[in-house]
Amino acid sequence: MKSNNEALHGYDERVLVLLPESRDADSIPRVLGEVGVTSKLCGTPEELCAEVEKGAGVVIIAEDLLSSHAVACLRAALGAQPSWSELPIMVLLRHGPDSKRVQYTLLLPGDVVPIERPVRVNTFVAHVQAALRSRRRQYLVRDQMLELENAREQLQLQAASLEEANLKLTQVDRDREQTLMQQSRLAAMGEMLGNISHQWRQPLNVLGLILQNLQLTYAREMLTKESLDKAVSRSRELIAHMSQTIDDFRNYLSPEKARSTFDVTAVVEKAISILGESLQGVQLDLEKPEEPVTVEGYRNEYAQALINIFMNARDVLRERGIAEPRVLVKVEKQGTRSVVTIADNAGGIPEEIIGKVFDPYFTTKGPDKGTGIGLFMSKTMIEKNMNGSLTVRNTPEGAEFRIEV
Amino acid sequence: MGASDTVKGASLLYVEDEAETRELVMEALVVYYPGLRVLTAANGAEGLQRFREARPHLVLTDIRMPVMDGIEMAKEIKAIDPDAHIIALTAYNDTSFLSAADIGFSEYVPKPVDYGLLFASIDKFFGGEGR
Repeated sequence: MKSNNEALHGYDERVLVLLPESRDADSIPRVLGEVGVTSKLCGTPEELCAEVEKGAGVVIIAEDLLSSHAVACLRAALGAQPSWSELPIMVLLRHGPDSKRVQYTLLLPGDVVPIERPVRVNTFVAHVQAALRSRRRQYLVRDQMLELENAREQLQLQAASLEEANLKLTQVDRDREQTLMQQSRLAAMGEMLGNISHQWRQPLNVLGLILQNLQLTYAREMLTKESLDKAVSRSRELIAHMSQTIDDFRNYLSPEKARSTFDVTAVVEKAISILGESLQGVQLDLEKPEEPVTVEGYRNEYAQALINIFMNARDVLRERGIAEPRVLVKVEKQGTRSVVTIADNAGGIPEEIIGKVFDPYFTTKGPDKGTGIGLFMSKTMIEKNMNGSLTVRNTPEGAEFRIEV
Repeated sequence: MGASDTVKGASLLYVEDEAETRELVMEALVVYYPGLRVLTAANGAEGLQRFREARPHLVLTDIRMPVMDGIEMAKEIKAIDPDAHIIALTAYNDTSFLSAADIGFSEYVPKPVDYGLLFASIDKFFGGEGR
């Protein structure tokens, strides 16, 4: 590479000379040398053209040697020059400037300057130096074009690596979203199992006692048809209740693939009933309109969002040991939208946290209790999939969640 | 059957917040121990009150209850009578790893209640070292 550059720039300023053997052939190189200009004498037009292709600052050629063959080879050599190049060609005229040969030469793709003889040395040298200056300006253009080309290549490389980084990030995003979805599903399942076990614990306890009491009373001969019937009937009630719990969870907590039209009030009431025992101890009041409030969307996901908010309210009421825990649920229709507000009296969400409650993985509970996913997924689901909004604000008594769909 | 006769004249305080459970267990106690006087209460505060009034021989209590839970009640009862015998009915995660004695209970009987185990504990108390 280095030698190439040297060759390139070494030849940048040299003057190629094609003259018949004569006094000029000796004196011109000497004269140029005196002003610091290097020159190379060429013996034949072919040699000249070969040297042109290697690089030159100026070409000086005697008109005598401009055969059509020479012109042709010059034309070829010049045609191979890059776009910024317009090689100065000084033609030393034998006769006047109007000869046919000179006319042809003027058509060469270079900067052709006819020099009439005789020419004074100073004038000649001045012409050469002017030509060299012009050539240098062309080299500036060449260098800038090179810089631009390099810069362009750099930019392309950067663009390519940015593209790659972007693709990676998109993939990371996609992976993250999938992970969140999975975690949210797992968390929902976990909570569902917790709920079911909670709902079933009491009925199972009582069933065990009813059965054992049957044995005891029979052993003491105190079992009557009446007491037996009562025991059986009550047992079947409990079993039906436990079965209903499973159906509820199956129907309401499995993900839905298709949108449907549903009555918001009915879903709110179902969510409350599903939670059932879990909300024991909390005074829950529901204000609802007479007519159904219908919306279109994913009913189960909507129910899950409600359940999430209810459970959060229950948890915070318990944690803070609120004496008379209350949750007020209001269902309304405002224009074409449904509005459900869930307000508790747990004291509210601290200012520094209230902006984060919908962040993924944000939780105020210990690691074994809260995953921090519930509210984030609820908000995502309602806002992205159902075009609604899920917000929270503090009231004088506590927090109020608002779902609009 | 034999042990159940020795409790004639004895009294037991049973504390449980869930009404149906309370009725069923009380029925079982009354049927199995015909001479036993069974008092009930619906939470720890009521239980403490009954204990003060009646000084039963034996206390049988649930743990998770509103107003005052079983642990709190046991503490208060022990403050009144350090020798009080308190049997706790416990579900899986009612208590942490603390031993019964540290909390104030004399022993645990797990839930769902198996009368075989419960009666064995009561029998042991009335028939053996308890009295």
